[in-house]
Amino acid sequence: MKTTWSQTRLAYKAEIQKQRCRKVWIVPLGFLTVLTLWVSVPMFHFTAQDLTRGYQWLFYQISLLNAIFVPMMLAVTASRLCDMEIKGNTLKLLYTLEKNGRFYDIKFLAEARYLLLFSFGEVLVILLLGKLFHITEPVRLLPFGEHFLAVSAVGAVLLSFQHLLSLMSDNQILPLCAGLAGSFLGLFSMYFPRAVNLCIVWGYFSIFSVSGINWGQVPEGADYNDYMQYLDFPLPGFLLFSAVGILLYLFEKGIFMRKEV
Amino acid sequence: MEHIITTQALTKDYGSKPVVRDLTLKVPPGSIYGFLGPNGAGKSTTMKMLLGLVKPTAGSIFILGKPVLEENRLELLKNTGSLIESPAYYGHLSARENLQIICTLKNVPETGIDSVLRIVRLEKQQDKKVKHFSLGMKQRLGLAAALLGHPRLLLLDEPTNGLDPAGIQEMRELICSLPGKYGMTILVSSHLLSEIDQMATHVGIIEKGALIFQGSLESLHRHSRARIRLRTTDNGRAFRVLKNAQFPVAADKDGHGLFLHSTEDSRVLQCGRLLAEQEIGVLRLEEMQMSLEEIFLKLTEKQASL
Repeated sequence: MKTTWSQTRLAYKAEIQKQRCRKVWIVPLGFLTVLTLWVSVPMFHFTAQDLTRGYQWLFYQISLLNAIFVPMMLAVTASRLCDMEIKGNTLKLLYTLEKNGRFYDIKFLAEARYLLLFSFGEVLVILLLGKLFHITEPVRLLPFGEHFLAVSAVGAVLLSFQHLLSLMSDNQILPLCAGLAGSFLGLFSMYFPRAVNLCIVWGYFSIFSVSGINWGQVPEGADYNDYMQYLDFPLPGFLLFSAVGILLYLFEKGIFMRKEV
Repeated sequence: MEHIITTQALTKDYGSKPVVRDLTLKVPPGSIYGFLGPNGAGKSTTMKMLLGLVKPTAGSIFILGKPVLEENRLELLKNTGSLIESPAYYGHLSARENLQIICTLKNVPETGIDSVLRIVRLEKQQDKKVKHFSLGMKQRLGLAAALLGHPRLLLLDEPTNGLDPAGIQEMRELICSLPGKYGMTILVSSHLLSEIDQMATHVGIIEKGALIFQGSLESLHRHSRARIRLRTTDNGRAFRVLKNAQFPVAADKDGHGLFLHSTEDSRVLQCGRLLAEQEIGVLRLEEMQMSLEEIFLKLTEKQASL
């Protein structure tokens, strides 16, 4: 047990050493900057009424935008970290030094750090915009926590897919295209009936959004923002999604481990 | 321990296609074992199986006297350095940073980096990004990585592939110096006979996945027995006369002469006398040595186990 832990620690340390000069943190930070600019533009025209539900609005808008930005961000991050192994032909050397399953896990963890940085950054951005635009809605910690959890969990499932694709592809165009396609699929899935929406993993950012609009109650011509509300977090659904995500990860890892170098 | 590496009936099939068949390797300690065979003969697959990168279909592998199993593979490989096919490297990092990663994964102190850089003569380029290295420098870096932690066994798969003549010479000298200086055993594969001839102490020849020769380089050279080539006024009759007199004789393939598989003076003298008695004139008499190249071709053509 002690040996396993020590080997895992060394493998993680080596993974961090590999990332020197790679500046991967620019990827989540760049996407976060674009996202911040995107959501902050309409906020300049906020009325006093809008400011009373400012955080709800931000959670809602950011959940929609996440469907576009997060798959792309994850595709670029995974590709940037896996490509160094593919280009440098390193797998056949690494597998003589560490187990291929451990390599797969550690690489995933290294990528997941940037996802967590992004999710945490989003929470900070929402708080920061709240302060900058003087949102009058009181800060409730629970939706912030739920938002962080939802983005991280959905992102982790998407990342596991990108992770496998990037490690299995000699050319990183394929995983990048898959990320881009996922972005559009996630966005358009919101216009599909809920049953279809549930089948598309890229669309889960909106499914786990902490705020939403009950479209059935919005009269024609009315401002839909007036019908925005915090939603109960679907905990059983979230746990089921996370469990399926873990199984999916193990399945993907199995595919990778069968690959001979 | 009699052998550093032993394999027993090692076999690898891809689908119905056999790539390695019943391979029984025996690599003596302290040797440079040249693993020779044409392209596609199964050398790389064998080396990958030794390192656990490819699962054998059948057979067993013993390294340093212990059976290689999934549970102890990495433990055994701690005493092994490898360079398989093209060199492995992180192009965005310097040579030193690349070696630091290997040190971390091998759990050996970074103090060894200076020494291996010196061995492969990369001390001056250690801070240069590896993506700017030539192929020869990348190969040397690969060798440096393999040498970290002072392994007892080195597995080098075609280490001179793609190198220019100077690079080949340099790599060869480096490999030859390692067993003497550091007590290592080296298994080096190549498809070039001349290369193995200049480096190895022992040879294994593989063809179509099967080992067709294994032994010391000396014993391979012994196969290159000298023989006498004869040209006479009537080669056909000369062949019959010598054959009837129990001489070890064979007809030349091109029909312009015959071979006497003996260089003993007394036999040559008897042969000359016999032909003279039969009034067959001897036009040419030359001693010929079979080159290693010819032995190799003969072995690989025959595909028969010696």
